[in-house]
Amino acid sequence: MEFLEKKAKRAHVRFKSPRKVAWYEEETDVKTAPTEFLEMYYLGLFPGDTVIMSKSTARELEDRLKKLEEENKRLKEINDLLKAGIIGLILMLVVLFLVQRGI
Amino acid sequence: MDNSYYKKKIEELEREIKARFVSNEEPIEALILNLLHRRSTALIRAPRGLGKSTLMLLLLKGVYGDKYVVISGASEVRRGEVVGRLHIPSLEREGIEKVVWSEFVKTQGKGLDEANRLNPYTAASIYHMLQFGEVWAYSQKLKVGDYTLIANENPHDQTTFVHPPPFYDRFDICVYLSSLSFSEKFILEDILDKYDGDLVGSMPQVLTPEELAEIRREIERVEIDVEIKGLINLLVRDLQACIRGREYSEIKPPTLCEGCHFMREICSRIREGPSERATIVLTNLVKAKVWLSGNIDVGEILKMSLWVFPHRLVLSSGTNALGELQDILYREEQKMTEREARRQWFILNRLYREFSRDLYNKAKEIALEDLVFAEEIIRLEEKWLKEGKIREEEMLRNYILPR
Repeated sequence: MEFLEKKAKRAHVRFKSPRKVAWYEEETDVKTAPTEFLEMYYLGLFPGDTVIMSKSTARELEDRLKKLEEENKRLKEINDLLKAGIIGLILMLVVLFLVQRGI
Repeated sequence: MDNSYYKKKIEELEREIKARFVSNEEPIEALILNLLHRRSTALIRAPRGLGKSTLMLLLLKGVYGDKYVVISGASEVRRGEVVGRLHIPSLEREGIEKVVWSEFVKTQGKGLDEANRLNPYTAASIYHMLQFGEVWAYSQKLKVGDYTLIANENPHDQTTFVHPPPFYDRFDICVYLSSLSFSEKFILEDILDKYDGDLVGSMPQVLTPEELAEIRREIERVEIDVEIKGLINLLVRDLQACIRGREYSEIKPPTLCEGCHFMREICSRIREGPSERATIVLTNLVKAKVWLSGNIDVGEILKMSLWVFPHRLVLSSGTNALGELQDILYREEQKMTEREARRQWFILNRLYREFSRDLYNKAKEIALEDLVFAEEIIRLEEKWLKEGKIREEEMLRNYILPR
């Protein structure tokens, strides 16, 4: 208890009222501390040198990457079709323009 | 007598040893600091030929002159030589079992060369002496007073007997000697020339056993700051604590740590934690340092930990590598800073005084990061639950204790 009393006295806290306390937490050097991946991703924490994740998070991330790649592939196919359509339409426009001019 | 006289004597002892022993300044300082409390025991570990026996003899000679006894584990040591033997004339003439106690037991300066080669019977006798301060032979007991025991061993030496961890736990500190660098080898040659190759023979007796006893009495009376006491207790507790109770579990870390909330903490790297003796030894070393230098800081305490823990810890990696222990202590230092930044001792102090819902919630958050703090909150929760201040379902143990 004596230890706690002494540490508490040197804790630099402000009493806003008898029941409310406040203190300023200094930024600690996070460079060497590992950062949880989800905390970094969702809470926007500045990551340390090492970023760690649990097995389930890694599995989920892998699933999401696979789905995104499939989605990417599907969109690429649609994109290719649309590109072919645009080229076809341009060609048709050119042909129609030439026919109209009687060339 | 003025204690500056004794301090000068200790400094002189260190100087005389360093004049004869190349490099390894830190182990020498550790061994001298450790000399300064009652029933001091130290273990010097080094591969063969690095001077562990020489260092042991230099220390014993510096304090006890020629009045010390060394037992060699490598030889055929019998109990009669270590503890005592029967006095045959008394037995033959009078039929009385009179014990002649060995010099090793009676003398204050004791040395154990190649301690890992001691046979189990001899080791058991020495263990009993270190544990209870007494020796037994032929149903007779002798109380052993104050002493200094310095042992050495080669950790790579494949011996017939493996001593149990409690035997090593009785050694206050364990220091490792390093081999000499290229330039240090030249220094050793010069030193050998200077002392005609007789390093131990040339070592003067700097202190008398009476002076050492007075120093030990003075250091016993040294009061250390409560914050330093707290730091020592925290350090030892951090290395002991396991939320899954590894000390009574048949499954040990790292297997035990699977799925544990504190899996990435220091606790998961320790298979067997230190005994309470580590706290006592660290306190003795701190007292000696305060007596000698007037103050001590956190860095010095962490440095001392490297002498106190290596032979008391079993790491999950299966090694007792100093490098890993250094890394653990580095993380400890960071943890101490984080604790200060989180004001957790202030919060705990307030919670000990009275329950506050806001501080309790904050404390629960902190407890998820700090096992030792969590233990304290869990203890307080039991009390608050009985007083109806909290509900069972919100208790911290629901999150971190195994179900």
